[in-house]
Amino acid sequence: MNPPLMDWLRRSPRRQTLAADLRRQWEADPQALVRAIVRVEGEANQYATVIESMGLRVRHTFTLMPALAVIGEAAALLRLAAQPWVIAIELDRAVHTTTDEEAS
Amino acid sequence: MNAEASGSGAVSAGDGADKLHGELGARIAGRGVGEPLRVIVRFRDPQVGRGLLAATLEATQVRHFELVPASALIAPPSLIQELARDPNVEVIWEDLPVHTMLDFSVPHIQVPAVWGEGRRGRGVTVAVVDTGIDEAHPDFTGRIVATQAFGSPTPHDGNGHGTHVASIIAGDGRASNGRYTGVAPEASLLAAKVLRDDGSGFMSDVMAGVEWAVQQGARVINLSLGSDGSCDGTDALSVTCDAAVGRGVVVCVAAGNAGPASRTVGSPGCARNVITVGASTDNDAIASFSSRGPTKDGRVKPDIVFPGHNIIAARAQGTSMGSPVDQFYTSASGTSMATPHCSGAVALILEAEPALAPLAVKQRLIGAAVNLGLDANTQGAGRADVYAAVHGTTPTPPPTPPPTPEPPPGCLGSVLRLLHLA
Repeated sequence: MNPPLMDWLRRSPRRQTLAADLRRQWEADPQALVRAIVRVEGEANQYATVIESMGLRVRHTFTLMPALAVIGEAAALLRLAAQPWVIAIELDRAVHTTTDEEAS
Repeated sequence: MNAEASGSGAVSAGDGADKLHGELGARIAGRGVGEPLRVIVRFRDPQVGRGLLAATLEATQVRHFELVPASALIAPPSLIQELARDPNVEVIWEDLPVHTMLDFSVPHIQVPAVWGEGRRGRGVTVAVVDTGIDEAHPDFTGRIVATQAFGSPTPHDGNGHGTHVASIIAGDGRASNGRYTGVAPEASLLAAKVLRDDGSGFMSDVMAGVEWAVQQGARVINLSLGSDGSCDGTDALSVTCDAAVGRGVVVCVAAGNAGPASRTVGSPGCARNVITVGASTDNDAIASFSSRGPTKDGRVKPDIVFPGHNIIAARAQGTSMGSPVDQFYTSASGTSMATPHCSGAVALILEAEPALAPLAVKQRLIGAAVNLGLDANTQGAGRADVYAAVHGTTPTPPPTPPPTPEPPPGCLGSVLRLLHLA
């Protein structure tokens, strides 16, 4: 993402790193253990240490898309969402094989 | 006694148990006295054999074959054992159910014509990002170049899904005398285990597997997996897949099995630049389970359909995914099975034209697809024609007609294959 756009995103009152329903869910249960994917500005690996210092465990650091997979308490993720270098946080959702059990 | 041994002219002097082929003896032992079985009996002298059967069975219970001296029949265990004791009976096979298999689905999409030109995927590396691959399976001998686990302690396939998928792409059918040969049987494979042995995992592990595959030099990535719910292609996994395409890698993704309802393509099937694959049946209908578009933001998906119904392919040792047919093979359905047909097809296209960019490969497949006349959000561009895609032409006319079902109760094709006559 280009720097002017990032700057605009930081200043914009509509900047939303976290979906509203997810924020409400985490605020309601701050001790819940959560898996999440955190998209960041610039290279992802530069943030691994600071994220760990916030009480989260970094599971993966990605390069194709600057992001990190983390696991930790919802409260820590809410604090992370407030960091200016965080672009977006989403749930690390479940995936599964696409075999049709009924047809086989 | 097996078919080869019985051809030696040896006559059983015992109770005939040695004439019961494979698991038939055990099957009879496990049956009730009156429970009939379907069997195929091979005689030394067919005329004598037919006379023997005419004396004991109704004509409607028997089907005689001409190409081989054999008859298919339904009979109680006691009669089968009696037949086995007859010196004119050479061997008795169980008349096993047959399934759609790679030896139907692969020809149906015009792959053998590509093989006939000497292209079998050699030099192309395909990554299977899945539950792992059984490295000991004979059909992959020497062609799995690297393995890696993400989210699991080892890359071992304890589920069987990844092994099945990999063999549809690149199995060479070694354990079936070539019967179950995949689309690109000389392609190399990378195995990223991102799903646990229960077949599930997390998007982040899949993303890690995709990154690893790109770093390892994959030209094609197969993702026979997905998440539930409609999406718009902006989630992290979809963005990562599009980024892999941006790095020159073709990514083939299952549409999902949440059909026939619309808006059921999940992530990463909703990614813009991947090839999203739906499942067709033997008759070029769309499998009811195959997920339908559009995406959450209104784009058409799937992009194309490949066969994905009752596909027999490799079975990982120690697993029972699908419906096992023997030690080395199992049958399964899903867009999981359609997607590796696509990945194998891409390997053949890239072998022919290594410099072709991913979006050009996608366009080749779309442009060559057989339009089935259905809604675009059901069939995409239609059912793939791999020969036409390799050559950048329109599909091979006319569309292949539906196969004729094999006549009950016997399966002549099964007999011929057992005797290596077909």
